[in-house]
Amino acid sequence: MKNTFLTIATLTASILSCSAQENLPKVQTPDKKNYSYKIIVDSLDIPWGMSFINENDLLVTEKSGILYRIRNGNKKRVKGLPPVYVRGQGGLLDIAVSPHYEETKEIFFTMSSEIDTFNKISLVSDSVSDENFFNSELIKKGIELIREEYPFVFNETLKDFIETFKDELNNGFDPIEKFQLFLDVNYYPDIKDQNVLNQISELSNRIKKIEISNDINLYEEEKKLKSKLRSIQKKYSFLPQNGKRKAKGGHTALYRATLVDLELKDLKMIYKGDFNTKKGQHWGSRIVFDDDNYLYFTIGDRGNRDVNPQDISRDGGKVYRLNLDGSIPNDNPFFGKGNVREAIYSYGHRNPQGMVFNKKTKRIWTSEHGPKGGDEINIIKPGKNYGWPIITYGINYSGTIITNKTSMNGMEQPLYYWVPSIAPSGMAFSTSNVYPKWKNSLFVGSLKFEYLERLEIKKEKVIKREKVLESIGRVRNVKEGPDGYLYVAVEGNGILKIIPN
Amino acid sequence: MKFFVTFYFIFIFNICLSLFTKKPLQESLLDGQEIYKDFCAQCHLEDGKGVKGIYPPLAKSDFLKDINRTISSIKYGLKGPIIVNGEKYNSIMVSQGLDDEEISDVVNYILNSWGNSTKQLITEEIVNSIEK
Repeated sequence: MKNTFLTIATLTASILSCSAQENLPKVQTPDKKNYSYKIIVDSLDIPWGMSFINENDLLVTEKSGILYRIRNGNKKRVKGLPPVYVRGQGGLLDIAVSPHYEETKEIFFTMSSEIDTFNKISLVSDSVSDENFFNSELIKKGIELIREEYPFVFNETLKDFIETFKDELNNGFDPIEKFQLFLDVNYYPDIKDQNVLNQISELSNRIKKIEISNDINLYEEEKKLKSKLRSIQKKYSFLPQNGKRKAKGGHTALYRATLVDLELKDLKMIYKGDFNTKKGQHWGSRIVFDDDNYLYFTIGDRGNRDVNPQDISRDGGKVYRLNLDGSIPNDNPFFGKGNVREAIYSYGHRNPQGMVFNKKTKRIWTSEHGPKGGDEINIIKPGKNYGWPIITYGINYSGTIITNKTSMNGMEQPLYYWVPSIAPSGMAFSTSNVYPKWKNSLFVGSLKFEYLERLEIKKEKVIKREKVLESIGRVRNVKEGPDGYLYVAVEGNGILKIIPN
Repeated sequence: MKFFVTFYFIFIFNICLSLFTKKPLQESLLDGQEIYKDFCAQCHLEDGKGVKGIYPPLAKSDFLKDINRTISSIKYGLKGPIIVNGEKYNSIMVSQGLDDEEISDVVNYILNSWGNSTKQLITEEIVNSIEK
């Protein structure tokens, strides 16, 4: 009995001491600081992304859905963003100026979006340019009216609609009403009950029959049937309800646009995660480019760790790789592999909110929010599985165990994991000669401990950790500017420039 | 008499209607708990105790006495210095993008958890009526 007690006591003590232990190397606070900082942009709440057009021209995203352009310290709002779905940890996320910006004026950004590509409901900003589409003025007019009423409609949906209803449209029927009918019949993503589906199609057919008969005596009945249909629609549908859309959740989207002074033009959604969910967590997201002009971006596991990260036929918990035009490179690891998202470059991630291209090793590096004690730095290799949630060094924040496995065959190990978790945000390498002692160091923001961390790395091992800029507020992002200086985005504050003495 | 009977039936009908349309507290608390775990627990923690000096407590919190202010800070966000249970806090809580029903659920959950209790049921309509 005594023995058992002792064993339990020792075990408990060792578990406790383990969980309290800091993963080596311990973070240091330098005694002497030979640098200071200057606030170059102020009054920002959550400055998520920043990207330099040049030394004196900077783009900054505010999570709440504002894009700023700061030229020579002058902060102005850029208009023309698509509707941002601000929910939980989601909102307007990262921004990146294209490597070809000088010629194309293109920028890329990620944000949370409730546009439902899976159910083909989307925002259309560019017009339907297909000539065959507008073979009649009436159809053209009808599409315009529908666009006004439903700004969230995908081109494909409109095409299907015109195919089905072109005769009615050419005969002068009300296009909005027909379009509603079309949606009623075709898009009920949430309805699993066959009876309800049958009811909808029966109602729709009866309405259609009455409409075709054009019988005035049946007008009252038509009205009744329609209101019955609307009440079902209201219960299940994503369509406007009394003018207000009720969200069905969202996912991370990647957009491309051209920046003309203070306005975004030629907006195009080039990737959208499926399937929308009302969960507030883990949207990612960062965007970077490599030397060969491939674009990489991240999406977190969207609060569904047991399903998303390990399933490459679904989005979430992934690093993606695309061409700048939005197409999928044919040397992507899962290209042509059947039922997969071919844009996936690596998977098994939890929530990568930091990413940088290591110019020396030509590899993409990420920093990721893990569970308690499981925040990681990873070097991203094509097609690899980073293990979440099958392996992790962390435990749930509530204290319960996720898995007792920290490694497994076929799964990658992190370059480093933080204990305690620092809640890593953006990351950057110092490659310039502005800070001679910091050359080639990695910098990662800590949201939780409100400092900027500098990590010295030798042969893919962290050999030193140091706090830079302590107690400045939640560090959201860090970037090396075109002038070689480090710029740090701090919540509730702004953008700080680190200046060596 | 006829007038009275009609009135009486309208009255009963309305009660029935309100019983059916109002979300019962029990259901609201369950939905609220889910919202709380997803959107609030990360900072205010599952036990509602928060982190002294950084994230104010919700458990037995004197800030919650002003229910309208509580709803407003979840609906529109909260920024700047506040004092909760005698402790100073000066930070930002941004709006989490919850809809009015979700806010009513999570407020009901907060007002009835960790030793908090209230007689008032917060409905979607109440949340809808709160202005910035």
